[in-house]
Amino acid sequence: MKGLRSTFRAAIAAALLTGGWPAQAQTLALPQGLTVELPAGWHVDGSAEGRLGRDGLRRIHLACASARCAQAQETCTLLLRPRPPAGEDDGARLRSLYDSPLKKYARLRAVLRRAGPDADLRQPLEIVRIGQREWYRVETDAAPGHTSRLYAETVANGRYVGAICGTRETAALRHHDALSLLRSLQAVPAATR
Amino acid sequence: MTEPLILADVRITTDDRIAAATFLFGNAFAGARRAVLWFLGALLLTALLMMGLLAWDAVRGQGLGALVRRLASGLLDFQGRLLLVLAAPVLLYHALHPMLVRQRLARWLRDEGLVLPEYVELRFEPTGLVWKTTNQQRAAGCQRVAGVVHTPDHLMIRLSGGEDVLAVPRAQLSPPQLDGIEDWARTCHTGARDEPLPDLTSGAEATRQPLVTVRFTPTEASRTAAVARQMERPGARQARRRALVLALLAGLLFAPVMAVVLWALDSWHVPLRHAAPLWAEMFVTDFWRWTLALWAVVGVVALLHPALRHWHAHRRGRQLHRSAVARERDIRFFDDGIEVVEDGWRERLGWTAFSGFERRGDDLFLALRDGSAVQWPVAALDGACLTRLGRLIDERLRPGASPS
Repeated sequence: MKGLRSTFRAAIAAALLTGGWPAQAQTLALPQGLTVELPAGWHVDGSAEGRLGRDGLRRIHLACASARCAQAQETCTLLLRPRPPAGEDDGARLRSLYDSPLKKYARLRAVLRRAGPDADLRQPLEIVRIGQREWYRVETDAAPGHTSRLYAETVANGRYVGAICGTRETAALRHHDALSLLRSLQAVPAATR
Repeated sequence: MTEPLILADVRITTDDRIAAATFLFGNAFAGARRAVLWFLGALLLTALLMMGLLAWDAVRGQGLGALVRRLASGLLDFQGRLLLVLAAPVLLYHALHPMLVRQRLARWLRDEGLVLPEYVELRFEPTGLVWKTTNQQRAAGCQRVAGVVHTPDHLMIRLSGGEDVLAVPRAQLSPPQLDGIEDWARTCHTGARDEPLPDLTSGAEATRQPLVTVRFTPTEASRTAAVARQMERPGARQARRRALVLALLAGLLFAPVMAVVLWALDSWHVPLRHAAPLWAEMFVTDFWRWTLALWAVVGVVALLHPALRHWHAHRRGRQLHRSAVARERDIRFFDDGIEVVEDGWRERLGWTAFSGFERRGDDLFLALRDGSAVQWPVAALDGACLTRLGRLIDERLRPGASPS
């Protein structure tokens, strides 16, 4: 009885916190003819157009604020690059991102540094299939109380899309929403844009 | 023959030969050791300058305080550790330099075949010094004795002119002998310069006629030829071969070793199990470029090396000629050996002391077993004399020839 009530209270609190955000999955249109499905309880933090940083990357911040996310506190930052990487097709372009061991090492070092002290790699940097696409993925395992992150990059119809998704979850199953978000990525073919 | 003041029999070993070379070339070795510190200074200065430039770039326009803070934090972290790792081996090399020099000299002596001890009879006479081995006898007048220097283990008898030194192990001399040599050095030094040399042989032998006599005054060219010959000795060749192999090995290992060192110094390094496969990949993608580039540098140096040696021989020959006193030299050839005579210097060498006869450019070299040589210019002899001398030497150096 007590458990039920506390769950109910948490649901109310979540509803208050999330304010007017819809509870259902919603399609989000991104620049460059890209779309993603926002999982239930997720919202855009700031503008859906994102902000162009000085490094030439456009960042769109997404976050989950529903009761489901109270513990995991999942967030995702999508990174878009105006210019596509060089290559014949999407697969070649993706591989060109880390075509030397030095680039791979630099990437691993950067993500470990971001994860803070005592962090480790949970998944190595490698190409994996998430949904319909191939992604260059690496995952960090941060010390308790720090954010573990999933880094994934792909090239969708000639457009670079990067995602940095954080979670405070420490269990084996992580980045549940983030992975569904990545799976949902769609790119309008370049010709019809 | 006059009665010697002191008579001593000593056994000269490799250690004594190393001590003599260390004493003789002490300045050059100390200079090389100092150069290591200069190198380290230049290295640290360059590194600091680069770090300063990087920090300046990072804090552009934030003022001097920010620059200093940035530099300090870098020096306390990765950059500081990198400097230490660069400096440590150089400092270690500096600390070990005397030992490494001794090792190098030992290798040189081994390559020259000078491994057996030599028994030397020393006679300290009123007018000079005589030392004898089985097939070599030398006499130096007091004018050629530049003094006696005491080191912890040796008496170093410095001989001017030849710029040579005789290292006598102190342990093999009795206290009265040591005192006597001290006295001898004082009197010999102040003694009249025109006194005759101590005799090497009995009177009858001293007056006999040589078969051939060569008379000449060493020139800059002949000293250069002597230096050039030394550079082609087995010991020198062996040392060059070793240096080449070491340089190639260093070129091969430079990139991977640097990768591992930088990795070990990095506070944010990737765990080994992830880094190691990437290094393995780097052998194929990156490291070989470094290896090829460094090997190219080694190759260029190796190709230029003969020219560098030539240039060095010329420079050294000029230096030697400038510092030496011009003295006429006689080389007298006898049935049982040869005699080298100079003002204040007499040397008798049995034919068994020699190992070969060679011509290099305008000079002829009668090679001694200890790596040195008796040298004279071809031009000092006329054709008939040269033929006669060639025949004599051929006969005496032929394997199995008995020293008559």
